[in-house]
Amino acid sequence: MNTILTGTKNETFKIISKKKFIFLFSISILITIAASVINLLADRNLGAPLLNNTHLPITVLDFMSSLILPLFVLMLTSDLFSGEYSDNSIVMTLVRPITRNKLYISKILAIGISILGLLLGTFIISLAASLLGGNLSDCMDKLPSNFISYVSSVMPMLLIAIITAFAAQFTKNGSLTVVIMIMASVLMSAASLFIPELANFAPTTYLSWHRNFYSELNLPVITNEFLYMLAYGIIFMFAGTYLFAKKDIS
Amino acid sequence: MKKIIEVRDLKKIYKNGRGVTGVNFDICQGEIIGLLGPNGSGKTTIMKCITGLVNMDNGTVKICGTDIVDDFEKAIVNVGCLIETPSAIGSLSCYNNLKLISNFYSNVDSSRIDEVLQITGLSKYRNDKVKTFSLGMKQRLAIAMAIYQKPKLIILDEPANGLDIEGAKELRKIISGLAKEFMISFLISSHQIYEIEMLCDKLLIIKNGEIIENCDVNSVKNEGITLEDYFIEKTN
Repeated sequence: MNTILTGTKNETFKIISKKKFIFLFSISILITIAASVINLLADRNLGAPLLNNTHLPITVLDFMSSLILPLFVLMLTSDLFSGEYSDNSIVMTLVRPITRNKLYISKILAIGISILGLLLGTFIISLAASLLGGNLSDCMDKLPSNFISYVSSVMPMLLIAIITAFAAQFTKNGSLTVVIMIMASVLMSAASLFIPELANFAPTTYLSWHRNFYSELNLPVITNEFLYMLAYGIIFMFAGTYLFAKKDIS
Repeated sequence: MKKIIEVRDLKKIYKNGRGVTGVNFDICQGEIIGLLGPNGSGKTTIMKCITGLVNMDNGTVKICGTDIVDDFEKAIVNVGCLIETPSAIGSLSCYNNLKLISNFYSNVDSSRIDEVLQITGLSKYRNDKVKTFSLGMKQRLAIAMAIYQKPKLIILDEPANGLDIEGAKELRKIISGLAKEFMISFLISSHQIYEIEMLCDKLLIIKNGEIIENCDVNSVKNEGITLEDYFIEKTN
């Protein structure tokens, strides 16, 4: 357990030291500030805001979950696996007192922690922005559900990370892993257009899982989607860990 | 003397049919062993099998009595290594790279980082990013990482690669010092026969994936032939 904690600490440090992470965090702050400023300007010049300020945190989360966060998770995961294979930096950790299984788990945990940190940071900033132009009591009423929505969106992102880590075991090139994952996602979306039943089985369907927490909780739907993600997570985690442990570093 | 590593019937064959087979040797405490062989003979494969970078097809590797397959963490804690190219994270500073590996050794005081930077002559570059380093400096950092936890066995694959004449001389001094002062054992592969002659107590000659000679360096010298001629005689 101690080794997993050490591994997670190290991998998290690697992630937050990356320019990509700092860049993404800056982007999410900019998006929030820009949305808030546009809303204020619209309110002053057009007489009404474009969107209710109380909904600002949710609007930002929707935007981030649909595009920026998945892309970020793809890049981050491929960097931590394929990227480290290609620049040989993985050797530095593999020859330390940590088994490959524990290292794999540490990397996934570190990605989860980084996504959670990024989301919580964005939540605080978007909440502050919504308080500036919105009604205080409305914002406070929405606070618990908004917070749960932000935290819950870690789950589908972590699933993407687990699937990407599995795909990364077949390549030694970070960019190739990202391309493979985007192609797979496009193919799944295209297939579900022709066969709508497939949509339930596509992991990308659950990217909007956080929306279940906006208003009234529909427990059967939440549980059902959670179990789908859990099942996918377990399958790809086991397969990825197995491949990682058996891989020869040449 | 206490055996630090025992390698028995080691076999690893790659998909292309190359690899090593029937490798047997021991290294005792404080010994410096040279691994010599032509390109592609299997030197690096042996080192990778010992450090768990590649999975063995057959055989056992015991480090300080612990089988690397049974308890990898317990076995590998006694090993420091530099295999093929230096492995470090380019976007991090020299100090932060060492800090990352220091987290795995809770029994070693983190002041050891400054000590190894001093030993390898990298103190003034401690805050510089590794991606700005020359090959020689990266090699020094990799050596600093290999000796950080004062392991019982250090495995060095072509350690003088990229080092200038002064750096190579310093490296030999560091290796001899560690072997004498702390009784650390070394397994070194090199194409520089002069380096092996100056450093090593014993020699393993490998050809086509098999160890064909296990001899004492001094006894070869006493026969009145150079190590270079001895190596050529054995490999032809």
